[in-house]
Parts: sequence; C-alpha cells; structure tokens
Amino acid sequence: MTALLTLTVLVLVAIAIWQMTKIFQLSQLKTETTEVATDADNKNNGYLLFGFLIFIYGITIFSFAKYTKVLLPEASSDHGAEYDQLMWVSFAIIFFVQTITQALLHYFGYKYRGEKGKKALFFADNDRLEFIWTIIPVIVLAGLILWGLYTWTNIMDVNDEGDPLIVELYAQQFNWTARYGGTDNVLGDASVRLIDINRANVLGLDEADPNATDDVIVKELHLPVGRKVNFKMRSQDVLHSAYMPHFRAQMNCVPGMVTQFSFTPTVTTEEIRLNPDVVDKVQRTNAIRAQRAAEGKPDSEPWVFDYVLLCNKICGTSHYNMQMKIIVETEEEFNKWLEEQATFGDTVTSNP
Amino acid sequence: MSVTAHAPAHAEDHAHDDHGHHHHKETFITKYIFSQDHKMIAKQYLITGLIMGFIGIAMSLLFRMQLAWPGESFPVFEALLGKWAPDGVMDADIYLALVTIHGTIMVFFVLTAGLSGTFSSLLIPLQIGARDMASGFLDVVSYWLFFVSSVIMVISLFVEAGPAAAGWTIYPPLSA
Repeated sequence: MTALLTLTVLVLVAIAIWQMTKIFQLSQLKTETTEVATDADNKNNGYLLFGFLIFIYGITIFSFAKYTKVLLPEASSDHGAEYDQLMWVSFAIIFFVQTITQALLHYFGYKYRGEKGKKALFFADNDRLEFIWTIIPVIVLAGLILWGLYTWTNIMDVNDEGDPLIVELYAQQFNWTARYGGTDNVLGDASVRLIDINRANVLGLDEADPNATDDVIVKELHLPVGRKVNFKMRSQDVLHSAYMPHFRAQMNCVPGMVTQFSFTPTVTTEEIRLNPDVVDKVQRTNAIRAQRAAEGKPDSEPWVFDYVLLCNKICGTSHYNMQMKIIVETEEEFNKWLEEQATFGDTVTSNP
Repeated sequence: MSVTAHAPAHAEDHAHDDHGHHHHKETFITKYIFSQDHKMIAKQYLITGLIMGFIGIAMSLLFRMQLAWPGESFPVFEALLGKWAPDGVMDADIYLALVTIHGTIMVFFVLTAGLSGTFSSLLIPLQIGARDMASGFLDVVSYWLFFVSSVIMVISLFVEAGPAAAGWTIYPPLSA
C-alpha cells in the first residue's frame, strides 16, 4: 500500500512539473515566437558545445585524479606485467585520440553553425585524405590487435614445462575448494557422481585411484612464490568464474568440463602488504572501519590485506560472498604447510 | 475490435474530398492503437521504450544506492520493495533480481524498442522511398507482441517468488 502511495505521489509530482513547465512556456509570450532557429540560437548552441567539451575534459581529469587510487595494485604474477602494459598503452592511445577528436568535433560544430547567407560547400571526395584517415587507424589497430593476440596466446598457453604445481579449484554454490596433488603432484580422478558427503568425499574423488590417496583438500589456497601453478577448474552446479584480480587471472568454471589457467605468482602476501598502494588502501579502509566501530556498527574490525579468489559470474543469492583467501609464500613455507595438511586417504579412512 | 474492421468503411465520403486524395475514415482505434501507419508504430515503440527506460533507470538507481552504501537502510527501499527489503535494507535476492530485470529491460525493451523498433519502423520506408512497410499488419503485430512482453516483464516484479535473479545474461543452468 505504501508502495502504491509513493508511486502515486511520484506520478503526481511528475504531472505537476509538466504542468508548471507548460504554464511557464505560456507566460513567456513574445511578439515573435518562431520555431526556426535564429543566428543567435545557433551561436548559443555552439557555445554550449564548448561548455560540454570543457565538462567532459574536466570530468576525465577529475576522475583520473580522484579515482586512480581505487585501481588494482601492480600485478603479482609473471604475465600480469605484460597484461597491464597492454592495457595502459591501449588506454593512452584511446585518450590521446579521444582528446583530439572531441576538440575537433565540438570546434567544427561551432565553426560551421547555421548562419544566414552561409552556404554549404559541396565536397565530393578526396582520395588522399580518405587514404590517410584509413591507413593510420589500420596500422594502429592492427598493431594493438597483433600485440594483444601475442599476449593472449602467451597467457593462455597452459603446458607442463618447468614442473608446475598442479592445483584444482572446485567451485560450488557458494564456496571454493582447492585440491593439491600431494607428494606426487598428480591429481586423482574425480567425478561428481562419486561425491559422498558422509565420507567427507566432497569433491567426488575416486578412492580406487592411487593418485587420489595423497591429494590434499583445503579451504585456503596456498601458492609458492616463483613457481608456475597450473590450475584445473571444475564446477559442481552452475557456471562460476575463478577470478584472481591481483594476479590478472580469470577463467570460467563450467559444470561437466575441466578448464585451465596457468600463472606464476611473483609477490608474496608479506611483500604485497608493504606495497605503497596496498598500504594506502588498507589505511583508507581501516579509517572507515574505525568510524563504523565508533558508531557501534558491524564489520568494523581492522582489515589486513590478503589476496583473494572471487567468483566473477552471477551464480545465485550468495554469489557476492563466494571467495577464498589466497596466501603466497616462500617454497619452504609452502612445503611445510602442505605437509601439515591431512590427505584425502586420512580423511576417508577416518570417515568409514 | 478487429484490425480489419475499418477497411470497407472508407468507400463513401470521397465526393467531399476537394483534393481527391484517398482518405481513410480513421477511428481513434485505427489511428492511434492498432494503426498500420509505420510512423505511428514508430511512435508507439518510442513511447513504450521510453516508459520501460524510466522503469529500468529507476531500478538501477535503487540497486546502485544500495551498492554505494552497503547494508545501509533506506526508507524508499522498504516503500517500494516491501518484504524484499526488510528494515529498508535490500535482500541479496532482490538486489540480484533488480540487476537482472534492469539489464534485461535496458537491452531488450529500451535499446531494441529504440533502435530496431523506432528507427527501423520510422526510417526504413522513408529512406528507401516506399509508401509504407511491405506488411503493415506484421508491423502492428510486432509492436503489440513487444508491448505484451513488456507488460509481462513488469508483472514479473509482482510475482510472489520474486522476479528472475540469474543475471541478465540468463546463463544456464542457473537460469533453468
């Protein structure tokens, strides 16, 4: 009922505004009311174009100055630097062309505005001009596309060279599970049909497969710094997307198939916490949290930066909170941690 | 209320027509509602698209307000969304539903109505120098099917279980 009343009020307000503008228009009775634009009108429109131009330049500069700090810190993976460079060069070219073309567009709009006695020039064509404005974008775009394709094939090349760590990321509504191959670094076979919650076989591992026995199933992703990691992604229910923004990595998780992604982490969690951008972000966030704490609101405990794995494809109600902590550490720390974890063999025998 | 009911009615009256033009005797219904004139159909598309546009923008204002102030209570949410926003804080469900319906409306009921509907109905016959669409009747049907689907889309907001919340891309199997 309240909703209906609110809607009615909104509609009535809209009608009132419309009526008022009509009254205002009627009260502006002039002797000469013509629908045809005069020279003065055209000139005013020309100046308004310049005003708009200043507005878009202004808002661009403002956004850069104020919001660059909300961007991600520098990439924490091998291929990430390449990826970021491609993005920034594309940005630079786009902004350069945008700045010039917008200025020209608005200037010509003003210069060739309608004026009494001004006649349009009939200009058939100019092959040279057309050649120039075709060839420049062709070269620039072809360059960007070739560079992009080269970067893309580099990033998407998942191979077993260089003894990569094999990790499975398992997605389900609404959490992530990671699985390591254990001492042999080989994942055991798994199928959704073998899932047995009563025996703690949450990922459907094949107990008959000897490779599965030493597999390690965890809820926190640990990665050794400087070692290539090959991810095998699976999904139990709907489409998910494994998104690790700080490593510039993203791959869909599709039910019924295994998707792959590979990267080498280059910065440990300890190191990234000292990155100036991250320190600044943590400070800003904790200032807000401190204020919330003072007001007695929830979610106000101080925040410490951690890498995260997020779901980046709407997968249902709790999609927004589907995440897993990632810890990048030295090889020794990682090996020590992995040894401490219970293997699949242990958990299955303890749940007969 | 049939579309073709007016067809035989125009035969008389020609004698009064000074200019000798071929005039239809149009009723309000044939002129403004089930009109076969491509310009009128374009206007119908435009107006429907604009109304859907306002609805879509209103939704985006709502969910972006919640996004900008997460967990914050707004009386307007409670007034408009009722049980979906207890104490003025949006449920995760209705947030996703608003994103979904907003996206769907913007793509299929605003852009489609504006570009395909309005521009093609209005401009194509004029640009190619035709008197009207090849089949005015199909043009009418296309608009009214579009109108009915718009209405169903809006009605979905009032279903007890709430509107679709699988993202506007409606990827299976989540949308199934």
